[in-house]
Amino acid sequence: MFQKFQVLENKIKDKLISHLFSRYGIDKQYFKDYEFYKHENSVYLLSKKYCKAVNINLKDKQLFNVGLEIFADYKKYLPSSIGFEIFKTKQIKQNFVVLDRGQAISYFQNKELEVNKIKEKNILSDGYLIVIYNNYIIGTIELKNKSTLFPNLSFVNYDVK
Amino acid sequence: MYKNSKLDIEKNEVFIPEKLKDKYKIIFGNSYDEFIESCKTRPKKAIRINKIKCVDSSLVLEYLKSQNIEFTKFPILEETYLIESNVSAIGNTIEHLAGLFSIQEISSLIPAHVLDPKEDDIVLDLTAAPGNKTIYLAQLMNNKGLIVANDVDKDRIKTLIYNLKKQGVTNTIVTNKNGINFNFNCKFNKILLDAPCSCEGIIRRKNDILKTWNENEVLGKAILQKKLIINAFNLLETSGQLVYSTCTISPEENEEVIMHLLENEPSASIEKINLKLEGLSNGLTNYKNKNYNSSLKNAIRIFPHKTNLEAFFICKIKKN
Repeated sequence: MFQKFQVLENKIKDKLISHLFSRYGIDKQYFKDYEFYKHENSVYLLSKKYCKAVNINLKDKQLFNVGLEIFADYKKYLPSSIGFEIFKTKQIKQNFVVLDRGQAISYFQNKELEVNKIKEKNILSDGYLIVIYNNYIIGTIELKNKSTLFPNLSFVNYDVK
Repeated sequence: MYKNSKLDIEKNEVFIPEKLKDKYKIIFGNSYDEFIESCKTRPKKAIRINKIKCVDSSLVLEYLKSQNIEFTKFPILEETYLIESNVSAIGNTIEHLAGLFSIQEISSLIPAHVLDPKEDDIVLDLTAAPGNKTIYLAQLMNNKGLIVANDVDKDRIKTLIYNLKKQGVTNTIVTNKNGINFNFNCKFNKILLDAPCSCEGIIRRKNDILKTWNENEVLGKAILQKKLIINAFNLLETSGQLVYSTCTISPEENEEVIMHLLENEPSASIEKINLKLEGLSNGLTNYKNKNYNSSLKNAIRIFPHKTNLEAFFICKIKKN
């Protein structure tokens, strides 16, 4: 029978939580209050407290969304930029860049950035980095060849100021 | 403070059908002219800082000040500020794109405030799209507990999901069911029914909204609202609370819907709403030749000429 959402298998859940810890330094304990769900390759977090008590019917065809998407493709560890905004900057220990306002505007306009023009950063390797502006997380960006940053956006706004 | 605008008042022409004018003359009596004048002015924009993402609201407020945007705190609503300056494109700022604040109409937030959900609640938002009230509910619950956000319109569901995502809401599931026969695995202890209506109350924002108004639309909406409120009440657990609201003025869609509930559900009773807000009016207890249950005076009417906000009706009901 069709089932849009499923509870994520513990093995994959543990792998994703370990990835978030090893890549960004996000404490594994942070996720103890969340249940993980998947739909195709996307992964979602839902506040855990009432999941079991309410016994959400995941087979319900009219169930359209569960919690917040944090991975757009968990197999590639592709983050959902908007989803990653729920983390706080103090949770992020590595693989991040801090943009100034001009760079943040470029980010939302989907423009590439050069990593050597970013003053504050902590980068261990190519891949997805967390983008910080003015002490809050505004999304994620992909570093390639240790030099160029490509915004990972689900929408572009050319009028941002 | 929030009633006195520092802006020059730009007067717009508004269209109100003659039949509706006759109706408003009955409802407003001597204040009718004052009401019509208030319809010609636009309400102020307001922003609500998203506490889920923005722990330190000064980050947003300092940015506004740096752009010479004046604002005043709106009483009773969390982190909500009226914009006192003429601004355009505030939605194109980094802070808005990052979901740190949203642009809101004040009246539309008040029903969620009246429902006052807590971290332990299981809440149903029966007609949720596009999600502004759902997001405020999630904020009041500190993103804990559970919200079921439902809407019958599949296209508006997509907007609802996007808005929830943008604001970082993790305690909500979204369903696409008809509210008239919506069912779920459990009862809810709090329900918000911000019912689809004829939208007379948004005339200040859209001054031609009433060009297609007709009495049949009002009666048709009232039939729908009565079905919705009965189902919503049945989904409520004992001692649970339901807040019913609309952004319209017609009593057929407001007091008469509540009357329908009271007449069909003996365990329903209207609760007094304690809101410290200047200029609020009570629900009507009579209209034309109809007398309503006296407890309807405990419902709230927000009228633009008394509050400088958009018109709204809010009623809080308890299941005994």
